[in-house]
Amino acid sequence: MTARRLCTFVVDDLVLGVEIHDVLEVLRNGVVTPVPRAPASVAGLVNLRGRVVTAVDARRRLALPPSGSASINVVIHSGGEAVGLLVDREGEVLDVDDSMAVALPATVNPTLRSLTTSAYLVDGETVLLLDPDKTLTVAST
Amino acid sequence: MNDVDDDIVREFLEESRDNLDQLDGDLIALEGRPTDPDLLAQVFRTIHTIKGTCGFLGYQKLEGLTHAGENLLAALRDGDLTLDQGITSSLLRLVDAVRGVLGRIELTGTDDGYDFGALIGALGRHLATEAPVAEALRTTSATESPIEPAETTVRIDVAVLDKLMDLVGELVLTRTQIGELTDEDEESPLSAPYRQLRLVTSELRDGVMRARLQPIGVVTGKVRRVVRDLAADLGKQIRVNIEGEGVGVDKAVNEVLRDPLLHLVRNAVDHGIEMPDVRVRAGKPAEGVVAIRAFHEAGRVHLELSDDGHGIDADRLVASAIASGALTQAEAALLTVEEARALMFRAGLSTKDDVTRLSGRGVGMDVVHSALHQVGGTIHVTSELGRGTQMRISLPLTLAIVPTLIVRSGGARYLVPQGDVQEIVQLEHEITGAAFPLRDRIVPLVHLADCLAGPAAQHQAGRWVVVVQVDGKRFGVVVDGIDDTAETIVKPLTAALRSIPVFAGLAILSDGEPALVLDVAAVAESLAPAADTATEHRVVVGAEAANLLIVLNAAGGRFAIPLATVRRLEQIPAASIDRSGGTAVVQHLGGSVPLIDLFGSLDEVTVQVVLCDSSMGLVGLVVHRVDDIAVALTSVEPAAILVDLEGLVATSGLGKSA
Repeated sequence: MTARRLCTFVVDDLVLGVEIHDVLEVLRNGVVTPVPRAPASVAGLVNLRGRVVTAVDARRRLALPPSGSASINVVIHSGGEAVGLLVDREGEVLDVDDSMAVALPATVNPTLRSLTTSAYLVDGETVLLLDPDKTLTVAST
Repeated sequence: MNDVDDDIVREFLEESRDNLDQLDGDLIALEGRPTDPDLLAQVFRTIHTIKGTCGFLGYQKLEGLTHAGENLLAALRDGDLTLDQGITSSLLRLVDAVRGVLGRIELTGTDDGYDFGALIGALGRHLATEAPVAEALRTTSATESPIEPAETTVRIDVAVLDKLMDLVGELVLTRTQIGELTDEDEESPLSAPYRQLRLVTSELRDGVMRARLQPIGVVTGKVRRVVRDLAADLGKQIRVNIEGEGVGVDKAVNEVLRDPLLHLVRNAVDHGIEMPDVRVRAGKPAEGVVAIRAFHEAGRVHLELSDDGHGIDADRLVASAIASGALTQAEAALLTVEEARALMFRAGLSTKDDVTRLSGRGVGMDVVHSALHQVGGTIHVTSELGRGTQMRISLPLTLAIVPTLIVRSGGARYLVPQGDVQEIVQLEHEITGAAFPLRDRIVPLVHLADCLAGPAAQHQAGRWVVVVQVDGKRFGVVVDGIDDTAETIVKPLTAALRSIPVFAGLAILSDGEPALVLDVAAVAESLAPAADTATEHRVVVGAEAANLLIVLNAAGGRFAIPLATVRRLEQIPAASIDRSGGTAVVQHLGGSVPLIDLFGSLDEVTVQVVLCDSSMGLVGLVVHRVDDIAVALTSVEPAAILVDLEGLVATSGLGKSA
């Protein structure tokens, strides 16, 4: 039984998460410098203690309705660099295993579906485990 | 293999590679001084060391090979044998073979699969033909392991140095922030410590930068070997003079320089220097000279590569370009000699069949040019037919820290590498047009705001122009304002941004905000993806504020177009004009731009088009020549007729086309 520890967060009332070993840190959203002509889901750049890091807007990336309420930056290790995911709220650290796995709800949109590895039922709530590399790769053609 | 073993092997590989490079140089030097006892002893020691470590690490094939070399060198060192070209060649083959095996060891961990029987035999054969040598030359048998001078250097991983550089960068930023705070308060007790901090930080930064320096000799040293081998293959006699091998350059710069330099050297040997008999007939010495001079100047590293060969035949280059379709006859006629020579840097041109040895790696002159350009380097060629060629390469001292100019556009700040910037001009009035007068020239303009907002942007106005020169083309970038200059550490773009062509890198400004570094060439290109970037036009009459663009028809008649409506000046090859729909159109910015042939100039080989904004959208006015810029119709001398753009558009029936 594969057990995983997830760092979770909330976007548009959906509980999403990545494996905790992929997370570098979770920050209050700092200043984001916009980048002209960047791919649509890129919110901009963030200075993370002297390192410039891309910030991806989770709602745009996951094809969820926009809201401007992203106040948490989950910095994730992906593709050899640190990338920040801007989400609505922090969630809890959850331990899950295969016995809690469920099918993806039908309400999950295709984009989000393509980025989700698996889903778990935790205390009555559905938690979607995201693939960090796919989610944070936003290079346009 | 555990970690310690890995380390030992890795160190063996690194040290041996360095030693082999040294051997290359020493062996060639020995050819000139075959009895030099110090050189002989040094070469012997180097091979002996490699042999010893091979044995210790269990690389038997390698040990056997180096042992054969060591025997030969012992005989040379002891005076039993005198070095000649044949022996040198064998020893150089030994060096190459060892290099090859090291490569295999790096990949697979063993030296299995090699059979050096032939080479070992060749090395041994030299020993069999010992020439009788006077006893006096026999040196006392040196101790097998002489006392090595104490090591005063350490090996450092480049990654460690990069990390140090990052930390220094952060330190500089923090220092600047502290500086801004103490500036505000003159009585601050922090002032004195801050001044000390500034001094120490500057020294630390210089120190770290110096730690990355390597002598340029690391790269130029390879030149001797390359020339020797290639000249021998071709039957040419060539001497190499190198000056300034101690000049320090950033290791990254050395790495960028290596392949282009060696390619240029091979070219000089292959195409430049003539065969000995040809040279003698031309009154030159049979031995050709390839000279390299490296030096620091104006904050950059310069490297001059010259040869006394037969020079670059600009006419042949032009002919070759026409033959391959890269140029038309008409365009060729307009080239200056320098531009003709610069053709050699264009892809797809060659005036001589490339020997597989040269073209095998697919390195062409265009690759040389772009490899150098990518790191902010330049290459300049001068040549005299019959006398020789000189190439001057200039590179930044360090790729790590770049002097930049901070510009403002659309409320945000961007960085422009100072190396691209020629001058900064503040105009009296906001400019919206496609060109502006700069002393005696009309310089095309690109509006940064347009470029950043994307093709759908409204045409913006600004008062500040940053005049840049890239790839020999000069143009002005219009911005909202100029902030400051800054020496910044430029980092590569994050993965998400790499596909955006107009950005070259990332940096952090002194207040901690991330900023994007512009790629000015891409900025210009982004506004004219299909056609050539607009050309500069020489103006006969000087002008002040610019309101009118003066153009000519083929008969010399003069017409004036309001500059405010002019978006761009273009030169378009006739081939890209599409007349199939009844109206002549050309592709620009992803759309079709209709052309209005004002003066019947549409049939020329290269068509001059003035792209204008009209009520019907973008329209191209075809003219014969762009002449001047003038402030008011009344001041134009000789007189010009004002072009009624809207009238033209209305009567040309453009509104009716789909």
